[in-house]
Amino acid sequence: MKRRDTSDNHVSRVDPQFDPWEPNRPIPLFVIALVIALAIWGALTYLSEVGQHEATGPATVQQGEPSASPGAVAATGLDNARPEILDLAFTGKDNMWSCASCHGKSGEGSSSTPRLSGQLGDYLYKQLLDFRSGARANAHMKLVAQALTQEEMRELADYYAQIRLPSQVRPQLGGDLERGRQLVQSGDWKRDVPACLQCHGDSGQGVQPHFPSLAGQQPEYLFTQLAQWHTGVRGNSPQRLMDRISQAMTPEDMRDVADYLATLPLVEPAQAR
Amino acid sequence: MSKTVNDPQRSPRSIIIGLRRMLKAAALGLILFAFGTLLYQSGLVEKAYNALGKQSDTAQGSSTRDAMESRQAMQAEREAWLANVTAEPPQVPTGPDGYFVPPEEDELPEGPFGESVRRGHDIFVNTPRYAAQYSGNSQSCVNCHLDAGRKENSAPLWGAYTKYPMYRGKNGMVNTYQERIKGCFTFSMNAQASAAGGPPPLGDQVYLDLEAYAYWLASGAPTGQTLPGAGYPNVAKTELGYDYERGADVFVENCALCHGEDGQGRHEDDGSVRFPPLWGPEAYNWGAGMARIDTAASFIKYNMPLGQGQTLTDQEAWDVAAYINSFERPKDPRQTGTLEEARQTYHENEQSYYGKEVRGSILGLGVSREQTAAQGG
Repeated sequence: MKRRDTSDNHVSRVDPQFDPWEPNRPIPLFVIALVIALAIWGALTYLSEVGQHEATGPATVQQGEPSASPGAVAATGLDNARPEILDLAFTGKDNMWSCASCHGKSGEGSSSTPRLSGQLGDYLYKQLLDFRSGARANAHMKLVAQALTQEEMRELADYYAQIRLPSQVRPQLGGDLERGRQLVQSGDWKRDVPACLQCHGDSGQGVQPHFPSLAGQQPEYLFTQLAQWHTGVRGNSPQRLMDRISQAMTPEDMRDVADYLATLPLVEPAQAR
Repeated sequence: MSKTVNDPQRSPRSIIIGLRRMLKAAALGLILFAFGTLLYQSGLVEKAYNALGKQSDTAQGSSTRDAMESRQAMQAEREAWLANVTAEPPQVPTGPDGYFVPPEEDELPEGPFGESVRRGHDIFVNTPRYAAQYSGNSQSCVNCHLDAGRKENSAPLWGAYTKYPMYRGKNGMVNTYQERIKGCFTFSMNAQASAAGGPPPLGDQVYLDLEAYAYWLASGAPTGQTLPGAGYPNVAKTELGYDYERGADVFVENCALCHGEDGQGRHEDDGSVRFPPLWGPEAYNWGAGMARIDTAASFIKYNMPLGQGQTLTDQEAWDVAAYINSFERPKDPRQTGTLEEARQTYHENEQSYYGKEVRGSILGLGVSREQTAAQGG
């Protein structure tokens, strides 16, 4: 702090070193307190997210909350690819992120990042092609897809398709599970919404080649996708099937469906590939 | 507090005061953070948010609610009428769209009747599994009667049940409801190719359960009249007529995604049907209503692609119906003599390719599971 003469003499009050930018009033205590409070909030949020990401490994459960499964569950098939493909999945390419950096070490996904493990290979492959062409808009995945060759996409898709990992999710969005069950199993034909399972398989396990598996998928991701179709952000569903179905759904419906699907166990279809 | 900064001297005391000030701020910050966290966790914020923003969401269940209220009102009116004959007789329960409202699952009574209804429902939605002995192909009732027989304009059971017994030109007699379902097994389920070798005999439990299900779905539906939404609405004939070659393009664009380019649908790995085959040995036979192009066009126009009814034009519906019915399927079980005799007796004046030449061969001779298996092997 600069010195200031406090005498009554006006001339002598002019400090030759006076700096007009000098704050002559202290920052109000309340503002400092607010900054500190926000800093605590930010730090805690950051720590909890870092904790979540660090917990994602082949043998761990990524949920912050205690999971339904008591112990750590191992995914199978994690090594089941050429070393080059495993490299892409786990270390990435040149300056490009690896799959695992966002989708987790077992491809289990988290919040709005989708689970990849056990997904239909053909579906994953088509999504990568759509990301690259822009048919499915996602800036991050566009960069990733542009860094991959078509063969690498195919192999990565097949790699994640063969990983077996029990469902790691549970309802998260506060949806009405009974209404969700109704929509998932019977649909709402007054709105021309068919049952999810009618096309995605009786257990939500997916139906080759166009209908991805839904069971075990991250509820936040499911909700986000439904919302994106609803609003037209995502438009790569064949025959605009999901666009129309989502447009007939309310935001509540989407929450209910996403949460109910998170309760489904992953049955093991003899998904011979 | 502001005095401290104006201190002319940078004394140890002013530093201490400054530090104290920072400590105070930190404590206040902590309190603020704790208060904010508590406020958030108390749910007040969410409540306020919901109160402000969620209004549009609650409109969601309103159509379902209105429909349910209409059934509850009927129940109340029934009781009132019984108690006092001069009271208003009960109204037909209808939803906001005006169509009849069948009962919901929670109205299903416990006990043997409820169990029979449940079995009927199961047979209805998965015929090859729950009526395995009499199922001669990969079709289920629900494939043509959507939403488990509840959906208007998709030949709902509540629209059919109250019309029986009814005279039918198809067999020239008054049919009971059981006799009508027997027809479904004979033609749509091609029961001739089933383990039993034919449809269930009248009085069989399969009929009793299916009948219980239809009876229950129709509770509250008036008899003696055709209800709006019953059957499939007719599709007006087009100037161009129908053409299976034009229909091929419609099929590839709108149907092949689920039913496959070869029309053979898709089976799960355990053999259960995901999307039903549309022709070939696993489809309905030549005697089924759906083998007629006008019936298929009506069904398709109002119900296909699934969840996108009325998105095809009339012309597209006619053409794609013609395309689907321009392939060989199991033979008409009524054919005992020659194909031409059967055509004259049962298929004269109908809109189908039965007994007609398509792509160089006469259709209607039929294709069986054995033939296809032999070809495949």
